[in-house]
Amino acid sequence: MDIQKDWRDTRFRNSSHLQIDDILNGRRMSALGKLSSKYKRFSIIGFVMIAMSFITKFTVGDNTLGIWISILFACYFATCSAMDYWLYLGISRIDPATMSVNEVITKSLFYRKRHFQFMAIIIPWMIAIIGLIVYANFSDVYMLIAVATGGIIGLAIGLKNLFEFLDAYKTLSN
Amino acid sequence: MYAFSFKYRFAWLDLWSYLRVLGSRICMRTAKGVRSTGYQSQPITSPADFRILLREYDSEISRICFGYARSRDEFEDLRQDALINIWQGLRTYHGNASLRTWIYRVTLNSCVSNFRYLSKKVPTERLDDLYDVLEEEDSHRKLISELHYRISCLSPTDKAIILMWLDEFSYDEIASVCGLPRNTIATRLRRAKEKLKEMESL
Repeated sequence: MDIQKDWRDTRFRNSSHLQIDDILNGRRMSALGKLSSKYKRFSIIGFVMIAMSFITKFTVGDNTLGIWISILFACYFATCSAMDYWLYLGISRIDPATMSVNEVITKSLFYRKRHFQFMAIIIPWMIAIIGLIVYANFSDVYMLIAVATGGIIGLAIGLKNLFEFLDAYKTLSN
Repeated sequence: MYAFSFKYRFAWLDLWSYLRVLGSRICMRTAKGVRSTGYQSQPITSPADFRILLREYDSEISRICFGYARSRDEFEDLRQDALINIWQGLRTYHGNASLRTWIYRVTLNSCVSNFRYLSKKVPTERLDDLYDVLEEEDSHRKLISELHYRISCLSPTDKAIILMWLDEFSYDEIASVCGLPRNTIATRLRRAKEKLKEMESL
């Protein structure tokens, strides 16, 4: 057919961005490789933060509430670490060289959907923990300033991701 | 006796030709060179072979990435990603399918596994930037850009089926790469062509 011939005759300009030597030397990672590496990195950070979370016990004025906040933090980071490790395992098992296209699409969409669903769990959880910290340190102005600063930065980053989430989740659900 | 020897006087030439063909086949089986057709029994691991492979299949890899991209940056990213996956996957390629089919599989999988590009929305202003990568005359460029725009509105699976059909793969090969039954491929291909024709009428 003509359209097939026209398509096969398509020629492209040489790319100046293609770094063949970097690819051959292993200095470039694929998108899947970068994504699985990111999840692995955050899983390790989450695991380390379990131990760090008990430091909050000493920063909170009320000792009883401080212990509960520390426990909540530890549970939160343990959950985040487990979620990220599960996603890392799943993404790293996607093999473009051996799997079919349908299989790769199904797995990619599945793990992307799970990522957004995990975010829907951990974001409200963290907001609740921050609220508890504010309540426990209501008399400490410096602590409130620190929470407010961290909250504003987190909100700015979070809103950007939230809009991406709302846009992409609808597409993934269809 | 004389007639017999006359008839077979050039038989040694045939024997020599046979030995040459047999020898070249033995060399092809043991060499690490890249062949454009047939199956590869040895894994390709040398950078030189990869560069040869790249020269041979670059246009096909580019066409697939072009089909999935919505801007010039996406096209470059997808192409680079496909090459990385091909290089990393070459060690596992043992000639179970033709090299062309295998490269198609890896490139399609690289494109569909890029999460950022799974959305169906196609911003028009970025497409003009994308079409600058075409090295075509105006009339052919218009045709290809029009075809690309229609293909970009399909789902990732339908895109894969249409792109393989455009490159004249058989239904069985498309079914094998896409991981769907042959009948499903035929049905989806027919529906995708109908969708493309509907867009033409708009």
